[in-house]
Amino acid sequence: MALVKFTGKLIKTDVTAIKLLENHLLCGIGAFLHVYSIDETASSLLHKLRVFNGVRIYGIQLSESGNKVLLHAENQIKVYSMDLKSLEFKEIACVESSDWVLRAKWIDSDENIVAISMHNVIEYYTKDLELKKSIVCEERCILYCANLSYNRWEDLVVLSGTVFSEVLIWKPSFDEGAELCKVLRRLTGHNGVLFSIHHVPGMELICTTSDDRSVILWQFDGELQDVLKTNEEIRLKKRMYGHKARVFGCQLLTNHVVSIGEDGFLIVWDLNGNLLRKIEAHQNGRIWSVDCSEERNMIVTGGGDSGVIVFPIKPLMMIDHLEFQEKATPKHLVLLENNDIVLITDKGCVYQMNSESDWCRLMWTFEEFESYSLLEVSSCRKMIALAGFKGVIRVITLNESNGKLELTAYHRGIEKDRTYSLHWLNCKHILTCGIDGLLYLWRIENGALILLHISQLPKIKERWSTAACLCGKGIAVGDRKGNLHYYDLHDLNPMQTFKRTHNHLGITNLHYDSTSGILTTLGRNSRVCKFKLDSHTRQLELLTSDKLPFTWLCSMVQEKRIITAFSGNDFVLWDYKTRRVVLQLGCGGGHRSWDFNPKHSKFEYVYIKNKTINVIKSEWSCINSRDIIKGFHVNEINSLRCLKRDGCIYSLSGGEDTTLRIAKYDGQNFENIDVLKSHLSSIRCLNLYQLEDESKCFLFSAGGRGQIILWQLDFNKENICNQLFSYYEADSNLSEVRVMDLCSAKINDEVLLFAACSDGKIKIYSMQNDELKLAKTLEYKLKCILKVTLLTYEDETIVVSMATDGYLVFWDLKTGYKFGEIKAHISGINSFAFRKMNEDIFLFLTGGDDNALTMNLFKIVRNENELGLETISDYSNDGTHVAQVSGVYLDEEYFMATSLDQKLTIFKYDILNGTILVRYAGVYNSTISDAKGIEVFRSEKSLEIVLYGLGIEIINCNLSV
Amino acid sequence: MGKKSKDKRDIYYRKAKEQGWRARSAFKLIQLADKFNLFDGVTKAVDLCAAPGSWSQVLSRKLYMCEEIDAEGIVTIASNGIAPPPEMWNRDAKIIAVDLQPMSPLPGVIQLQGDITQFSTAQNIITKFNGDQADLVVCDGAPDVSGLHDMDVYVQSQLLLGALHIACNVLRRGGNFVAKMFRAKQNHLLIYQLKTIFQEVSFHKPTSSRNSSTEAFVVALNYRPPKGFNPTLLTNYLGIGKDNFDGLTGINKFIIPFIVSGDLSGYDADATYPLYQDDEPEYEYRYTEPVQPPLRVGYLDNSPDPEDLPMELPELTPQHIKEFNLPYKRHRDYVIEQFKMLMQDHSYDVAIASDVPQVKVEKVLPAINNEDFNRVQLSITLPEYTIEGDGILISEEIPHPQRCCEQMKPTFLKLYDYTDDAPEDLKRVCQYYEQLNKYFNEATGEENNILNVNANTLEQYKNDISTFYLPCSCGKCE
Repeated sequence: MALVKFTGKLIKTDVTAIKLLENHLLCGIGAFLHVYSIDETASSLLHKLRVFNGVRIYGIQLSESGNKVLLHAENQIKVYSMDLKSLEFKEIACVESSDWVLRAKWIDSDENIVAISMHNVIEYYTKDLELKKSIVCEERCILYCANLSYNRWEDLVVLSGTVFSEVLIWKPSFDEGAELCKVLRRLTGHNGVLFSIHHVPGMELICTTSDDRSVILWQFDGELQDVLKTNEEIRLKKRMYGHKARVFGCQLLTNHVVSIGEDGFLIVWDLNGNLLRKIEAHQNGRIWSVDCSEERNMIVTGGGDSGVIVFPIKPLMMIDHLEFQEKATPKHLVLLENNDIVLITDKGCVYQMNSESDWCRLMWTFEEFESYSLLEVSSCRKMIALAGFKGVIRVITLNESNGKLELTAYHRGIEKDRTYSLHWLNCKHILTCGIDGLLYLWRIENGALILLHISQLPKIKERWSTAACLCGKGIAVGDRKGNLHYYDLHDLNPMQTFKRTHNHLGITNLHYDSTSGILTTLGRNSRVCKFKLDSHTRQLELLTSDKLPFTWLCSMVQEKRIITAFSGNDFVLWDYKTRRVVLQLGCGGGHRSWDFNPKHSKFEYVYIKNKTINVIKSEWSCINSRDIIKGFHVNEINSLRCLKRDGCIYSLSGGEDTTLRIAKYDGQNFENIDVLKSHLSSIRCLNLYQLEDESKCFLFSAGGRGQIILWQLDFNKENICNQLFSYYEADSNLSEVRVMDLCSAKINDEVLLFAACSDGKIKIYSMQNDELKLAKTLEYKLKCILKVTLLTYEDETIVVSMATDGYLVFWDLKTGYKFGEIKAHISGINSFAFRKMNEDIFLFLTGGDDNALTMNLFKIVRNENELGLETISDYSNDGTHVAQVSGVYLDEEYFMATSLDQKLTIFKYDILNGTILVRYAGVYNSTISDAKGIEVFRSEKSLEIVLYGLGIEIINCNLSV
Repeated sequence: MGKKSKDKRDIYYRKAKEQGWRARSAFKLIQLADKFNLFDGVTKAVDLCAAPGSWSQVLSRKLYMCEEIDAEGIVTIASNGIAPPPEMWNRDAKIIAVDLQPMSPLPGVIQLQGDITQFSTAQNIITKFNGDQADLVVCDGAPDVSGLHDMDVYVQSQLLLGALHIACNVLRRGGNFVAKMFRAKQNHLLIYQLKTIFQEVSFHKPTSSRNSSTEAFVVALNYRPPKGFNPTLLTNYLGIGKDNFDGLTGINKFIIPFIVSGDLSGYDADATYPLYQDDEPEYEYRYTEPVQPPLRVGYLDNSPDPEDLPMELPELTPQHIKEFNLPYKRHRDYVIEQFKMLMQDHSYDVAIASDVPQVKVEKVLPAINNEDFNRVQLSITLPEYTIEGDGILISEEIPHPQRCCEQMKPTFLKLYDYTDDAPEDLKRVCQYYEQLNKYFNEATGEENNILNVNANTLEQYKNDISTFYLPCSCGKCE
């Protein structure tokens, strides 16, 4: 019957199943099985096949022999033969169970298969999926998870987790003659639905996770199946808390327990239930699936953000503790380029030490640095500067040939001229801050410190600097009260001051990147601020202010995209690109002397605690996570617009996670280009406005809190998308208006933006100098307007609005009055598409909340200067979709619709003498849930469809079948 | 965002709180009932998956307390403007609410804690009706949404099946059945089959249900099972198994009408309404606390907030507070939260403004109608302070106990950890409890020592907290 042929090309959605093999990784994404090659450093997609029709894979099990794979989805089970060398996959058997399959497994040396369903029924199949028998458990309540332990039917133990917080342990072979199988043990301890259970034969532990945010380890003595034969107790060994939301999964390993949660955390515990590592993954979205290999030190997770990530189970680190033997107390320490540590004590003694060869040598004793000293290392880590109470500044240099320290420069200073802070600007210049906020700029030359310039901090309490860096031709200085100053080298006072850039705890670090001209400031208020230096005006301008999950930020390592910070007692390395914690080290907090030296492949962290010098060394590759599939939107994509350029599809998408994302699809790969986070609330709609220059267009995004952002897209630039303007009515006493839809047009040489709002108004903005100004408002009823679009008739512009009352309402833009309406649906209109048939006849297709698909053919007429509407005919279909129709497409021959029932339907239509004739042409069952719409590109013989909702699927539709 | 944000977004949410409904879903039943006259002649009703009880509340107020609830979905107290007094209540009306969770009591509602998938629950219902059968069975149950759409839909269909199972066993011939369902790929098959045991079946979407929501309600009228139908075997009879209706389209497929109930000129669940409406001159917006917070939340029972780990959350009882280990982050919020809960247990309503350091205590005397609430108001000012990082920052100048670099006067005390050096400062933490203690007594007039912190407990604190660290604000001295 189908007149067309659909082919799924690409899918990005929840990764619900994952299996790590020796050199390969199998991922179940929607109905598709993806095969990746994976080793310690790289991974690539080898093969992809559509296993099921419209249902998603929930489990992947390999046969013992490794040449067959068992897959299950909802109530379906399939067996495929698998050859990973030739990448040949062939379906051998399939079966539909009467109930949802929670888990399936090969047993009896690949001869048989067992599956457990949601109502606690075991189905016992042959290897070709012929049902041998069903064993029903006496407890038939709904299960959310189950575990099948042991590999022989006689031994098989079922652990099922109920919605009533219990774990039921039973054995299908216990009494096969009985009508219902007895429950042998019940484990009670959880306080909510059980989400996962794991047990490995040979281990004396069971791990369970639940809705109650906890992970529980249960312990028994001996082998589980033997325990079931006796009265031996299965004890609650430890209840573990660490997740902030529901815990969806767990895996028990020989030395570790891994749990994954709704909060996007992956936690590694030891077998006693102590938290070892907490990893933030999948952009804090949900994590659905996990698989581990202890031998390869690998954890792979699949998330709700469509991503697949691999982590080491244990970060490999060298930890050393050097007891400081001398009587004095170590005060400050720094790391040198050759990994030596330089340390100063409260007695003014300077030591050089090395953690590897374990030697420690007293180099000098400086009386002037007794009880108070500053010790700072230059960025090249070959020079050290010392300062103290008495105005003395000393510079020490590392002799690279023999590894010795040499005194190279000295400034005598005046008695009582205390140095409050000292900053290296580069390897030749230092900046010191003295009494009254006086800043001295020094150059180190021929064993002397030459004073180049003096400037002064504005008057504040605690008047000294806390960070400084060279910034263009000036110096940026951060003070103790969180103000940022910009000095040129001519004046005493700053050229520019940004008050309260950070809070009263001061600015901790400044970093200037000369290629981009961007100054980054870090503070102890969780914030990272970025400023742009205009090289002509020599003025700084605030670009962004980002909030991190830690308060005390320390430094930035640009090459590694890392920000270092302190969180409670931990030193944290945070990847600012993926927004993920890379490493968390307990060190006792930030109030101590510490140094962190990031190198190309390694890094080293040293700190003083209780007179001990602690050294931690590792390689980046031993701690870092790696994306196998890059994550996309965390929640629903509410709106997506596509552009075709150079044979590639560029997708611009905005969603519930408040991000605007740009990605590129070249027919093979889907590559993320940028993630922009400017919206305060969810993005509901996007609109593109093409500019005369073909490589440029405007993008409008809008959504919650009435915010509209104007972006410019320029495909010739490296950063394609740039924010121009944000419109936001900050009147918080009014109710919160959501912008539901946007459209734009050039009318009378002016770009106008029409916004459909949830308060029943259509707001019209005019664009002037890249800014939006409210020009006019069309008031409808107090009904949420869901869609808005424009028609042109003669030289008039007609605004069409669609709201939750199901009416298509027509407005004359010139007068601002509505002149006609058509009742298209009984409730909200969620999607539309239209065609202008000729000057005055339009065909309008709408999809509604009432599951219906409606077409209206109408004519715009003019009666004595007033516009009017005449309907010609209509067509309605409410039998195809069983949930609201959320996206439609219309061209000369075909129309399409997508709905929350996960069907994508296509129809062929014709208009004969004003009558609409429709013929059903085909359906594609997608696995994207919460579909929000489609974007379609038509070529002569095919349609390229981008379907979006909770994920994205690209589908090809061949019309010439 | 703050507390008002949901009020600002959703008119039904706001109205439900203002009118004393336990959840906005009450309006859905009101609208469905209005469309189908579901309550006509009903004296015995069953509410399945009842908690938190908004549907039971509708049944209670309508059937037992005989209130008039108007067609627009907005409640008028009674036709003559006064709620019927208790002597006019219909004592014959019986409402049974079934749920796994307990819920707070409602007039005329008998609670049955049970599982709707068990046959014994049906038997218990009949017993409670003294052998009679029910006129109406309603079910607004939904699974705890996992985020996996297909799984949620499946579990929901199982719940619906459970509800239907109960309904077939307890409904009288001619009785009605209303249940929530998700509109999704397979669920329709189940509903088609309902046609065989009910005379009229349709899908409804009340206007109080949001446009984006996939929920709909199946309304099955006039229960008339075929001859020989054994309701205990229902699960075999119905099912969403292998049948596939995909091949059928258009008129070949029997279509169950989709209807929108609720007056379309009434409130729109998706629209943003101004907080101050022109047509309601006497209406003034004011934040309303939730009507009935959940009695039991699984994860709150025993799990500490991971942010505060390793702090043990003590149970705050009116007598005393046993232990209060660490004055960590959100410590203040926690104390206030506990205070609030304690007050609520004593029928006090506590509002704490986030920006003003003030606690407002209102005594709400239990009353049947929300109109009759007796309020006693009291305002208390909290000491001013802010929270910073992991500690509490008290914005006062406190001399530094340790010798520090010259000129440096730390302007705050940061409670990071604790040592013996500064027992004075610990008292400040305790002051907080003492203060709250005082408020409680002031507010209630009762001599309850909610927070028993004194010098003796200081010793205990010392043991619990290992090291004290007072960072000097100069950032230089260790």
